[in-house]
Amino acid sequence: MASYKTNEFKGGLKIMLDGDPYSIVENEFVKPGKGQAFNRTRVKNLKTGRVVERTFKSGDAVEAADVMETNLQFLYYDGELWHFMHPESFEQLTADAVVVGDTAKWIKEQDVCNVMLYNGQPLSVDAPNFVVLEITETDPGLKGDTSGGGGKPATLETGAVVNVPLFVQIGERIKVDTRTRSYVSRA
Amino acid sequence: MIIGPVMPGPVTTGPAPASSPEWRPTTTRAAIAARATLLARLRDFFGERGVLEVETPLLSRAATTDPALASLLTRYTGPGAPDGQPLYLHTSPEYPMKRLLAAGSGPIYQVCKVFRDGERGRRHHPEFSLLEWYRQGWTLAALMDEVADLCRLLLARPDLPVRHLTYQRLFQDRLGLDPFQIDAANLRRAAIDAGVPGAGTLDLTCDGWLDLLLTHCLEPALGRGALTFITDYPPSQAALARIRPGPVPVAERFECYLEGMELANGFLELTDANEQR
Repeated sequence: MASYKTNEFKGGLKIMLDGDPYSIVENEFVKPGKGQAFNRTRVKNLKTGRVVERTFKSGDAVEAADVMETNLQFLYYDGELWHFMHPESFEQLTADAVVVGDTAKWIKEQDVCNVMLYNGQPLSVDAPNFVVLEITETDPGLKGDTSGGGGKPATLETGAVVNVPLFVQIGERIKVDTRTRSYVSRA
Repeated sequence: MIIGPVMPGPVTTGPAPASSPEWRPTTTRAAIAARATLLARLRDFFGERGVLEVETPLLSRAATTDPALASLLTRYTGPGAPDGQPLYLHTSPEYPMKRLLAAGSGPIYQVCKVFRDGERGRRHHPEFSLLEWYRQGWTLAALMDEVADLCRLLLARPDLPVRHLTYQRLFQDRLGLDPFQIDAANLRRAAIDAGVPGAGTLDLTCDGWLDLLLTHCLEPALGRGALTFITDYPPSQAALARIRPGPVPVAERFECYLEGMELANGFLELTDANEQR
């Protein structure tokens, strides 16, 4: 089984701890002038997202986690599972609500998502940085307001709610930055 | 007697990637000036006290004997060594300086680069500057006073207070354990109780556990607002220090901390060749 020595530790390295996959967030080398060296790390549990501290004896080996990131196309949601497909191998994979989480509110069919695979199965799904979605509900804007000093909430076809300028209307398609969850422009 | 305070560091420049247009060092003009002032003051300090500056070889045919340190290796090829000869960069100038002392040099000091393999971190670098000096016939107390005088001068803090604390006292007061009596199993429990993350999964010797507790639980609070000397180490951490016999024998060694940072380490030299072996 693949493993990493503490000298290979760096941000982003995927390791197994207590049976869960983790990603190293921070790694610090600590050593008394005359004594044992340690690696003090902060690691993120890739299942729960929780960040915890962990200390290793320098020179120890840790099992590598079989974690890789890949781009998968979102095919459809069957009411229980989200179905994805690899655009080249056409291999299909499914992910449940725990894995997809909040991303469900930002993706629609055909979107290509960044998916983290653990032992070949989806562990987390990220929406594309920018998505184009249709507005299904919003208050009609005031007549004559074209610049929009303020804004108003708008519900999108996926259920997500973003703040949009007053001039944007129901039925229009808009571009959204999913990282900040904010309106970018009309599409 | 030896002491090797690590000087408040030079800012080193890592090798820039070949494609990077950034050639500028990461240091500042102010940092360079501060370092030059520090070195000038340091030389004045020892000059006034009759301690001679020396320079000894960086390259040695033997690696370090300190189990906690690793030497960097280089190679000389040329007259005298047609097939090449491995040479180690020193981890401290200790041995050649001791030869000078044994030959009657009197008190000497040296500021030089030293090299340590396997060490890189916020407070560690494979090469750094070290000050090492020797006083013959001095007590540890006198040496600690001199360390304090030097720190006050170099830090321009003439009123910097000084505290002394034994290694045993430190662990008793802060963690409620006696580092001279406790075994590895109980040290593991103490580390878990103290909240050291992952302590339960580590496999360490007694000294390893003590180092873990020191670096994780004790060091950050050491030397806050005062230069703090830790003295009387366990004999297992003696390095080349003399052991003072007694009901609880201790190594006649000290470490000096300021604001959570280990600055120096000093000891009464073991001069008994038989014990050294």
